[in-house]
Amino acid sequence: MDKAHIKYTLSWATLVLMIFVFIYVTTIFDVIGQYGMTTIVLIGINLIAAVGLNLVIGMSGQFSLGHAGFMAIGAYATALVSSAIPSIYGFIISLIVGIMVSGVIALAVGLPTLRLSGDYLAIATLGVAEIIRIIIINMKSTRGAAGIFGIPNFVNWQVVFGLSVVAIVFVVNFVRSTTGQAIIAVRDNEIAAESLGINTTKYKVIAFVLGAMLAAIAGGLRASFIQSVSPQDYTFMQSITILIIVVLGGIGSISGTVVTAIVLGILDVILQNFGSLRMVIYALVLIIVMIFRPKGLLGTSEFSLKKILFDSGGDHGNNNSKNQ
Amino acid sequence: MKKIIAIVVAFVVVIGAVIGFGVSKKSADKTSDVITIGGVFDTSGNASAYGQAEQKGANFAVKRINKAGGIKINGKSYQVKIVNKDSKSDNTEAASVTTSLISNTKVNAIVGPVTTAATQAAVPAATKGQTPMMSPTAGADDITVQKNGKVQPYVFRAQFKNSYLGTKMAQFATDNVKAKDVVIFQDNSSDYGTGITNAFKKAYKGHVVETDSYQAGDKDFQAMLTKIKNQKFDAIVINGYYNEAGAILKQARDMGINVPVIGPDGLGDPKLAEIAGNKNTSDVYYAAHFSTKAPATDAAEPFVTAYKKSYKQEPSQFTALAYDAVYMIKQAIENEKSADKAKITAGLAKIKNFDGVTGKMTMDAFHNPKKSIVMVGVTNGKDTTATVVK
Amino acid sequence: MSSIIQQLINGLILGSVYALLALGYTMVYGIIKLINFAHGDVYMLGAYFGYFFIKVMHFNFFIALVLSMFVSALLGMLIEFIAYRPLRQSPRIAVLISALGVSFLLENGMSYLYGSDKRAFPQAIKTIQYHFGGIQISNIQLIIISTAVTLMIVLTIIVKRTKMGRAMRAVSADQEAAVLMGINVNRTISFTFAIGSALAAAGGVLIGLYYNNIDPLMGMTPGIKAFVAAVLGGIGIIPGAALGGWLIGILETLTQAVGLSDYKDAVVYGILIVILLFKPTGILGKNKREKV
Repeated sequence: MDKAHIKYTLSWATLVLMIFVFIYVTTIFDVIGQYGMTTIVLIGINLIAAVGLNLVIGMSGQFSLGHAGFMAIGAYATALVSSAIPSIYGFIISLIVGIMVSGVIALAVGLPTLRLSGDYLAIATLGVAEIIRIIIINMKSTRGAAGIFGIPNFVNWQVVFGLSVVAIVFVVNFVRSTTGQAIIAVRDNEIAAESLGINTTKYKVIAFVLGAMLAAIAGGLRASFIQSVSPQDYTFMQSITILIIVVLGGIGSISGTVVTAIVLGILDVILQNFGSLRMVIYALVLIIVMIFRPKGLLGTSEFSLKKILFDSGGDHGNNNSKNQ
Repeated sequence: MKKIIAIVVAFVVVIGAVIGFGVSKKSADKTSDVITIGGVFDTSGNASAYGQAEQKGANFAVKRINKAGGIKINGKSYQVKIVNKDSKSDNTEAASVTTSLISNTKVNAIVGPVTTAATQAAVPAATKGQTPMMSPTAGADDITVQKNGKVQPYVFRAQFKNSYLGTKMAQFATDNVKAKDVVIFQDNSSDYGTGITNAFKKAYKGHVVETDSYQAGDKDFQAMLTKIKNQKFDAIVINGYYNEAGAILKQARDMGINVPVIGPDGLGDPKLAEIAGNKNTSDVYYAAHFSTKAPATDAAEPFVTAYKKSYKQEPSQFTALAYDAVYMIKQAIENEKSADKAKITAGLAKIKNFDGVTGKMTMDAFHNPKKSIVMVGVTNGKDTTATVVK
Repeated sequence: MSSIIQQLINGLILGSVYALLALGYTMVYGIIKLINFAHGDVYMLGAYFGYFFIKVMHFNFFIALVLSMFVSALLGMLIEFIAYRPLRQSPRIAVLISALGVSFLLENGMSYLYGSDKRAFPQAIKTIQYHFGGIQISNIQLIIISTAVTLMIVLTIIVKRTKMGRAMRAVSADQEAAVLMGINVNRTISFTFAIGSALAAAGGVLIGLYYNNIDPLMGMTPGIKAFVAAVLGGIGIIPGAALGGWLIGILETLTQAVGLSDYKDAVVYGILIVILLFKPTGILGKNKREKV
């Protein structure tokens, strides 16, 4: 590990710390109130789900319309397990259960469908998410359409903040790893990658499974924070909400996803005051952003601390990657 | 290096500003002479038809209260302001909107949400914010009950419990319709449909020939109806809302299935006959809170007349329930002589013999209104009979 | 026995509307590789136009049907011009989001302007029931099937026999080559949207008449189902869309007939996934080899 690398890592860590302190101070002095805290938590939860979906779309070039299904698994795992064991350990176990179940299902779905090219993953995942929801509606233990409530709450903004940071760091490092680079090779040119001996399906499946696991975490956090789950929370529209965050931010750009999740979260708060017009305005925003920024707000580039902080001071390191 | 110093300085300034703002805000608490009610209604998305009807009912109630001079506490009149927020037919949004109304708008009480699931999601927010929340139409039995069996202190409803509805409908099917065999169609995308079905099955003495499910938004019921057509049954029970029930009714009558149809209050909307066609809407019985045929209280008649004058349409059960929800809050404030949130909560729990348009109501220990069910009979699209089920 | 035939007929009628919608999906997908999420909402608007022409303008049902198809065709071209054309060179997923935006806009705009409550569709044609043995079929059901089939035949003739149809096939096969052959790609795509939207509108008006109710969100579920139908039949293939539509209609009906109404949609999606695994390009799809 060279010196420059440590410097960048440190500066990112400082940034995270600064944001944390900022939120902490605003909550202590009650500037944003309970509602502000709720908003921050919900933004964080969407962020975790969106980072996972970005991994799937951005890294494998195929898009999934079934993210809600995996969130539902996480949410119901948390609802069932942490209601049975109402302690922090129960909550952690429930998250792990959600991650595992979701991962296994993603593997079962991904292995056959990711062999196909084109939009088939989209359709297959759409179908799987709907099937998951219909099964939940008809199961006795999930209490059908009524859903489960009175779930113990172990989630506050610090937990979500921490897990968001972990999710982002994890995904960024995964992308930079050898495996990650292989996945990007797959995205850029599948046939070329195959002829170099890269097992394309394997890497697509890995990305898909990781994405599903992150979705399960997001679902579990939300179930615990809202303290209730119901099948209506995880319809096709939920998948679309997450998809929109990823695309507006720029596919493949993790910092884009972060920025968009925050911007859309704040937009939502503002639009709440517009009553029935809120969704009309939201729709117009979507169309306009896509027409003027078709590659998303940040395109494929990443927000770079290196450029902002250190570039004027001369040439640091000899890394040519613009994704630093 | 300069940049880093600049950033650190900017950061310190921002944090300082936040602290300053927070400290100055603390001292700016003020009292107001307006009572604010928050409305959490789904005015967009799947449940928006019901949400919009309820929002109208709540707005109408507020308008009427203010026109009559507002709410009087100790001789002083307070105007009522309603702040409505759209919960998008999304439960998470319902929770978030409720929090916003409590902590930002600082409402004295909340009317809403519309559905059981949304209400469940909003309960923790109301409890944390210690704000009374009166849902006009959430039906699931346990939304007002905590895990440990105690009552949810801040949650109330104007609606019947699902189990109560199902039980009374079963009683009506046996005693009045004399149905020995019934077919049940249930909306299984909401707890309303499945909850009532379960209670109905438990209480019904006859034989349930078949239970079929549909999803909210379905339009085609040919398959379900063809399947039951040649079986023997004396009545169809539709546990769902008027949108789908209207379509079922039309298709059943077109197919020549002319048995009586029994449904819960979800069928109580003038749209039912519009969708099914007047001719097809005969021999239909639905559980109602109010009916112009058999006004439960003196409040019903003037309400219907005034509402028709303002909105040029008949009020539905949803509208009437939301209207009553607002008036119950008013009653609680007047009884306790305070618009304090804790006082309103206490007042709501103590509501007794309240003359609402949906009946004479008394809150039971679990915050459910005790009122009688009127089974309204419809002939040719018009309410013609009304039977009180004891 | 007669009830099985009756159920098949029910499925066929339900499927006819899915088929009309699926045709629009498949043509748009074939030509610009876009899953047009706004398609279901054009179907909804078509129903509202029909409502307007019959209820307010008091036109005859068939005139209202044709007029509503015409207006929706213009609307489809307008949507393409505003929301999709500027994104012609952009990543496909950007157009997809733009389509979702249009879909939200139409749904919520309509419910903002006219309320989200259902409206009763005027009964412009009186329902008459015919009985053949144990089988019952109404004149409206016959109108639905015959209109759907007629429109499909017209569409096939347009695509196979006319110059515009040839242009559509050319653009769909290879857009760049089509440009070199002197085909006006923008005009061809506009035309495709016009036809697809007209078919969707026809579906909307027929459904309005049949079920007697319309609402701003009526396009959501049929939109997704029609998309599934298009994929099932082989996306981009016109007869495939019709086949897929009918197949889904019949499947839905049969799952209810055997008592699986709780799992109606799950069965449809399950079969879709299974078929895709064995035949990824859909029932009528041809397997293509990708070139390096």
